[in-house]
Amino acid sequence: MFPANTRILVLDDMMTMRKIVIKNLKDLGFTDIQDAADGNLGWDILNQSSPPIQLIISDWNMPNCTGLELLKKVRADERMKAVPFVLLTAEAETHQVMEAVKAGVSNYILKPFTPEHIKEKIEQTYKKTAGSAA
Amino acid sequence: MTEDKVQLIADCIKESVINTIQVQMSVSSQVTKVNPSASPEQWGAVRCISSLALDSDTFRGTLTLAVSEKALINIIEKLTGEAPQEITTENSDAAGELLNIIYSSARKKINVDGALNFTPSLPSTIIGANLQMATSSSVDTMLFFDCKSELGSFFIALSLRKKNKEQQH
Repeated sequence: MFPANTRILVLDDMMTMRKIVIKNLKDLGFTDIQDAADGNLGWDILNQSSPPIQLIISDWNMPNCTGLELLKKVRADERMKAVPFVLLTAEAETHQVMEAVKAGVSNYILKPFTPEHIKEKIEQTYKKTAGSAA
Repeated sequence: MTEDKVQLIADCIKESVINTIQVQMSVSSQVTKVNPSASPEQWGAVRCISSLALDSDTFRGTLTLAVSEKALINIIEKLTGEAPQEITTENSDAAGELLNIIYSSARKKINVDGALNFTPSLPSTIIGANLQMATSSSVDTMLFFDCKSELGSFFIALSLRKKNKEQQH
């Protein structure tokens, strides 16, 4: 599992959803969580954060810069292309999942979700990407 | 719209309401009535309304959620672990998120099983005192869903109108 001090970025345009995800992450023991309301603000945090962000959990459907657009930017940037990126979405149609996989998504969490779903997806993501962003 | 497609959409929304409340909030709920006409006297004082636009090749419309202050405070507490003192512009997005999940979950099945292609949409939310939802005679389909749970009641309205030829994609 990711260590408790992993620096995590949570992105969602809905404040309530950010609070839900942050609560779930805190319940799992994570202590270093930052959040923002869209991909553009998230990109700023990714560029400015020191120490760097080590795990991104982002909503897909956001105004200004969607989660998928941010994923593509992250994967195209040498400094952060290996950072595990989890998409949070209520949309799970096959072509969308394929698009996200093609863009390099590490995992995705389907809304609605339980705390157990979040834990399971984060554990899966760690196993798939362990050490890659270090 | 054919009756079987209307029934499919109604069934998908009902199923999605129950599943969303159960999974996201660990609370059981019921959709006690699906009516073609509103019964606003049962709604109490609506404090928050969230609505999203529906759009497909052949139909457009809206899906709207209406909820009282007490029920929305209970929902926010269940979702986030924080009980707000009152509903504000910031925390009322919980109603939008709830509607977004209900619609997105239902949309997949509606599109696959109903051979429709409703597109994703982001909700807009307003708060106010004793808000009302008006009905329109210009829509082809209007359905009201009465939803009940231990967190309180809320109401969903679906309106659909067939596009004319110029509006179709």
